[in-house]
Amino acid sequence: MSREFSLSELLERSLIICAGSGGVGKTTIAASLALLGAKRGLKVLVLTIDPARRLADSLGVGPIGNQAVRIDPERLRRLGVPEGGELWAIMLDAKRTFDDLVERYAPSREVADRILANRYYQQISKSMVGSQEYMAMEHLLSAYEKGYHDLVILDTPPSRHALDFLNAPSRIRGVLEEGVLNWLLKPSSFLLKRMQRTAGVSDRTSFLETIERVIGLGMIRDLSEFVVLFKDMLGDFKDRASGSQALLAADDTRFVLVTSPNTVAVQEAAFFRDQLEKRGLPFGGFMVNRVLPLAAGDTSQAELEGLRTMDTPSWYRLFPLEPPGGMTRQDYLQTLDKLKASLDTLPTIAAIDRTNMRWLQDQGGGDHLFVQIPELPFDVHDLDGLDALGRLLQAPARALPRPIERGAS
Amino acid sequence: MDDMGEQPHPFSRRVIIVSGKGGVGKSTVAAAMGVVAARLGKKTLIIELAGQATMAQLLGGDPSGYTVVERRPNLYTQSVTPAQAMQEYLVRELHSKFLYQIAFKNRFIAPFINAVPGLDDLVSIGKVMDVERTRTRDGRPEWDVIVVDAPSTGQGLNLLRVPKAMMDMTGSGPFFRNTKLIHDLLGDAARTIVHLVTLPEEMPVNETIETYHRIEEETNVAQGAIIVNHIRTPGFSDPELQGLEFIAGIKDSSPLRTDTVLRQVAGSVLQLERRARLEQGYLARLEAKIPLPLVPLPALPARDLGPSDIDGIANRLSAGFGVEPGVDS
Repeated sequence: MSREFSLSELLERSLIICAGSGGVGKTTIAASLALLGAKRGLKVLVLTIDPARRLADSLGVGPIGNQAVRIDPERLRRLGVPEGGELWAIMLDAKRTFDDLVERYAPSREVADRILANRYYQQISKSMVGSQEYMAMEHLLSAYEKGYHDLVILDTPPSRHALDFLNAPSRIRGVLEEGVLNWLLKPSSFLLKRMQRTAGVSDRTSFLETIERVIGLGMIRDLSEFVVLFKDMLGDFKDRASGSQALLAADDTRFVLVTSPNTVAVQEAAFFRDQLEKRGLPFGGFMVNRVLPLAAGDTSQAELEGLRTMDTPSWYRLFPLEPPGGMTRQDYLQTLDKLKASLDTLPTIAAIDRTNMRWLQDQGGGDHLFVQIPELPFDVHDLDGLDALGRLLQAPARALPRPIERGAS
Repeated sequence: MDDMGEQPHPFSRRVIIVSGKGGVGKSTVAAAMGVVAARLGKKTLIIELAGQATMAQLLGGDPSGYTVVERRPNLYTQSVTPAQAMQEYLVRELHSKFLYQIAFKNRFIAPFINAVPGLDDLVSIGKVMDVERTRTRDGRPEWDVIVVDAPSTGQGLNLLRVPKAMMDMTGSGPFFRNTKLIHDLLGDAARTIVHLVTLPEEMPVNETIETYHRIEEETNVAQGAIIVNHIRTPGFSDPELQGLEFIAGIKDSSPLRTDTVLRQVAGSVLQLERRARLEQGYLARLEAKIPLPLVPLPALPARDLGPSDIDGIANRLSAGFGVEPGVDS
């Protein structure tokens, strides 16, 4: 195994993108990394889409739209953030951002208003797959161009497939591609005429009307209007999308994939890592959240089996004779009994996690970070919680032990 | 909406939609639902609209995709992608596969079709309606029960919402009439029911509460149960938990090998126990916020679930829904 990329090196980059499927603590880890950066004296900005708003509350920033908000410096000082260190956050609202872009690039206020009122626009801006992702990238680019922050951390939207994030610009560009728009607006071609005759539509109807007959959207007017209005803005949109793409692939960017040790999650993380490579995007490492101490540790199946099959008096002798203060002897012995009984299932649970993590680490390839994070005994909802998580992220990396060999008994 | 006092038998509906966000175990639950229905003697089809064909792994047998395959007595599965549903619909409407191909399989039109909001979901649920309307030669419904493994887009809400949205945009014409048929099927509580699957974790629970309310407000579909997947049961009393913490702590500094092992064991048990307790809190939150029955399913210690796991989950579902477990033939 090659040398591991350290957390310090990661924080020296100017852009970190935290990706992964939802529900693995990605938002919390992104915020915790941001706090770590601030503690190193950096000016850090974290961009997140946080549907629960819990993180926003805990950082002391309310529902604030798409403006960057600075976290109270006094609270940060108390956590040991030095002079010069700053923490900023943006909570993204995808719909709002798309509207902002239209307003920014529309040639006139009147055109902007007509686009915003267009039904087709309203539909795609809120329901199209990838619009959230696209907008996250747009914000990232704006923040980056301002150049105020030393480090920008992006928490990608919690999509089912983390890949939606990478596909967003090309998908949106595909829709807005001039070729498509022109083709749709052009008079009928030979093929189209044949098709229209067969489908029982007159030659004079446009292609859009033929489509309407089959998929019946009744949106032709809205769509044509949208296409006409949007045409002038296409160039700007495409420039922005290309700019975002270039930023993602920059030398100073790293993708961090956040996952849990479960089978589905590690498979998704490994798939995403492959996709990064295929697209020439810089992979920084895996962060595995909610790891059991037994899965992270070096205990063998034989040792666990030895404990499981031990007779009860010997088992008791492994522990202090006296229960802790305030605990009855009976409760204490019951705890020990249950702990021993847990050895019936615990090795299997730990072995699955360990096998999954080992497999994931092997997928990482060369120089990358591999962080195992134990489950916190509390939900993170304030700066102190983020700080505690940060300490765990920094815990010295250990070589991952061989998998617990299975089936021995 | 459904009157809570007079719930029809949970498996008397023909269309049972299993919905929820991605990664919560929807396909697993759909497979087990299918097993329960088939055990009750109903000819059952599981339609996967979620994009991945997983029924072969879950129920055993070869991957089949679009082909309808019998997995067990009375239990059939089929996987339909939006592209397949789209093709089926368009070929029928254009009366020609050739025209479909020249018109919709070219690189100019495909992105446009992909971009039409909601069309994927509409043709997918349209496929379900076609299946529901299929009749045998003597005029009886081909399928007694159709279990739908729904796509995850928009927290699984889009599929239920799309017919109404399309009708609002269309207003009249053949497409409108077609869409209205789907809308009516979804809204008929005697024929259709939706169950939401979720995990006992903060974000999925909050989203499920939101989705429940949005289904009530934005769709005409009757809701059945909230199926909470992957639940661990707490096993330690408060004093015992204190004992666990004591053991995990007191072994902290000991250099003895056995103590290292015990520390890892106690730490792991402690972590699982705390998680289990948090999960109970999330269950209580669901119970307080959603007036539907909760059906809990236990966490299974397996890397990949297979047919025997699905049978076990089917037993739990039978118990959760209060139907006779029956015997798997």
